[in-house]
Amino acid sequence: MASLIRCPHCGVRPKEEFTIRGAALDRPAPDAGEAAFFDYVYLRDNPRGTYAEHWHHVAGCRRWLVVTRDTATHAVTSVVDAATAARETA
Amino acid sequence: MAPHRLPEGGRIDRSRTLSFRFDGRAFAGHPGDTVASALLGAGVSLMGRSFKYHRPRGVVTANSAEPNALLTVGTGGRREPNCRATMVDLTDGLVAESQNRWPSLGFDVGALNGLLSPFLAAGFYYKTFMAPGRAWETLYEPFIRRAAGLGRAGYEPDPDAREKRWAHCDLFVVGGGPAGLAAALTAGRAGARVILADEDAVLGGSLLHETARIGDAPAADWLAATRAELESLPSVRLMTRTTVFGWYDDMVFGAAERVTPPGAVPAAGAPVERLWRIAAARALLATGAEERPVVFAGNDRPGITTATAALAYARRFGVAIGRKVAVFASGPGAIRTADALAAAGVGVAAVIGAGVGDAGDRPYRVLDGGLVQAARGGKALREIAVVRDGHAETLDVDALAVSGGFSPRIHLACQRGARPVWNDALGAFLAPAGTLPTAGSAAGATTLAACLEGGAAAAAISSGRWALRRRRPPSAGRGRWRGCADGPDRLREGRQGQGLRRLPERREGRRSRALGARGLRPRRARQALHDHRHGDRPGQALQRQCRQDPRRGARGGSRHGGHHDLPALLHARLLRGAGGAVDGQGLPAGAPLAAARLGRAPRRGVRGGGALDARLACPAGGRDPLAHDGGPRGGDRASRRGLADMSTLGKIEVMGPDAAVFLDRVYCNRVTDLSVGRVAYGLMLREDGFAYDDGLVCRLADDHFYLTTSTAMAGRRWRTWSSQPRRSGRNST
Repeated sequence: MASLIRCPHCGVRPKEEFTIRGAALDRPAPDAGEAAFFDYVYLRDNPRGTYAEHWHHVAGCRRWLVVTRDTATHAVTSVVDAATAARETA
Repeated sequence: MAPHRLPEGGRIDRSRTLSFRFDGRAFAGHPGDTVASALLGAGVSLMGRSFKYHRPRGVVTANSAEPNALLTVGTGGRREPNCRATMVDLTDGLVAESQNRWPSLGFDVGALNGLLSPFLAAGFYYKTFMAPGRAWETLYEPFIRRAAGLGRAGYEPDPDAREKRWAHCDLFVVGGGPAGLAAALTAGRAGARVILADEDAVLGGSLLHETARIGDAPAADWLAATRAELESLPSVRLMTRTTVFGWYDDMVFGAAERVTPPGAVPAAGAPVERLWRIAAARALLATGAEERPVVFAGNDRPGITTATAALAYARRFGVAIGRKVAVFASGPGAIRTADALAAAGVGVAAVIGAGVGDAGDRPYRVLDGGLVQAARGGKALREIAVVRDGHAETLDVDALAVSGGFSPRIHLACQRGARPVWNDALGAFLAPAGTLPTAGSAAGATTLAACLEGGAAAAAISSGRWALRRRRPPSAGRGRWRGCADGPDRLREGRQGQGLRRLPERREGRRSRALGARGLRPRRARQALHDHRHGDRPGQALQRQCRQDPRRGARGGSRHGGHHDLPALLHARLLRGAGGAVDGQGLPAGAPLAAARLGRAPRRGVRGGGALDARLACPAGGRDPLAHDGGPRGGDRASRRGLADMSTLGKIEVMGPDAAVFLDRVYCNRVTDLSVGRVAYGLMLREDGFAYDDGLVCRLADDHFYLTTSTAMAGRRWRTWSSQPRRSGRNST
């Protein structure tokens, strides 16, 4: 795991300031059906490579961030605010 | 004087004597000694027993790589097993014990294993201890458990404290020998922030026993001057007794500082050990090289040490490893070492090895081309069998200083998976490219001059950049957050109170949604209030007054400000609503004052007797409702009033235009149908449908709710739910 994360609001911070929620997946629409929700709640990919996660900067700005990191090299490729990311994809 | 203590020399304070006990016997040493050097000086060469065969073992090195002299140091709660005797500073009253022997170190029954060695091949336990099956639990396992391991842990509580700290620097130098000191000096003089860590109690590394000269002065003079200069540089931090054990992502290192040596009582308030996490811009490995022993029969007898150790004991501690010392090494270094030992007062018997040269007029024999074939003795070395030009002879010696070459200590550079690279010319492995830079012996330098130059060069490579570098404050993002003026390092270096809170400045373009964007949180930022100061939403006036009035202690940043007032606020609401719903409009001017008084009363939440729509009838305005009819427990049963203390519960406020819709998704029951002024019970579910928590939902206004959760879980619940709005593009804070 990368030791230092560049929070877009707070700058470079140690990883201990963050809580990791899990994969940054899009929630299915409420009417998407049981299969879609089962996949969303229980199933996860395990790639050797880029992986996007939701991190919560609990000891800092307390905002949710989308951290994209490489699971093999631990390099963090991008850290963006989750609200910004959601608005851009919406 | 102790039998092997040299009459003069050594970096010890001979004017003071420290007494200690080893295996019940009393010994004496001097400040500056380690337990190993003090025992050697007293003539004790047997310090431990081997793991399996319980062979007698003595000290082999004078540094942290000691494999044999493992002692249990300290008593009671401060008892520490498996301490290397070479790393334990001698302190007055220290108590040490040898390990892995019974009944005593001198007479160990376990040595019988040595006689059984033909039957105890590696892995013998796979075929044994199988029958009868019952005997495993009653006989075999207890016996094996007692025989296993070296030291025994203590069971008493440890009275001492340990600390954790962060540190930041531009250059992190691992190793305080000549290369490391030269690097730290170069970088420190250029103004860089340097941290120099060495695992020994004093800086110097090989300079502590080096015989060469630097410039015109002995190496010791250069060491003293360098140390003084480094201590005077404000940007240089020197850390002794610090082992750097890990190299992690983003150039973060783990280091363990032994503040109080084993067996010593910590000074008042001082920790025993400190765990450091060091974030460095650059690092340099100046860890030196480890001397290798040589393989021959009986090469583990007490009295056989490495050549560097023999030299270190003589020159640094003023202790001879024996009365008749032989040196087994190759090349001209062997005679140099023997000369140095002799000059320190150690009796040298012979020098054996390939290419060692000529004896000249030295008082000891030089067997050029000789080879040690076997070392004999029981609990101490007695003689060695040497072969030279086909001619065998036996030398009567009581100590042997051995050198099989040097291996650079590149462990830290290879820790992250890179393979070391073999170097034919040096006959050793070196750190691979792309990992940490090395300097000095760790990089394969063979002379002191090369070490000093290499260290200075490695540090000078980046020194130009350091001169311009300033300590920048953390990036303020897009200017929305007012960061603390201190840099991130101050946060880590123990000053907890500063800079941990971010107070938001103006949020442009979000005035109308400021509260909605806030969403859930236990505390409220002042700015949001400011934005809504002129809002006309019902209930805002009351909230604002509760929060801004300093008499109520309701500041945005105060930990208890919000909570302090919410029960009061709630109470005021329900006070309005005695007999019906609160319409939230046209609050009388007296309401805030009432809330204030209630707020100052002993904080007890008020909950109806369990029914969902219980009414709370309390005296209006001005009187403490709890000082009523005999105190808190007094209730009027006729009017179905009850009091319950829910002050321990987690409390969360939810505000915003979509608050009700949001809470519909948090609870499994509908909250949008809850009237203003009503309280409902809610069950919270997780995304997988499991029950998560439960509590009350109080609707204070159309867009303002007050929830309770499990005690101490408010933060966790808030964190879970605060992630929800992110999908709609709003980030809650």
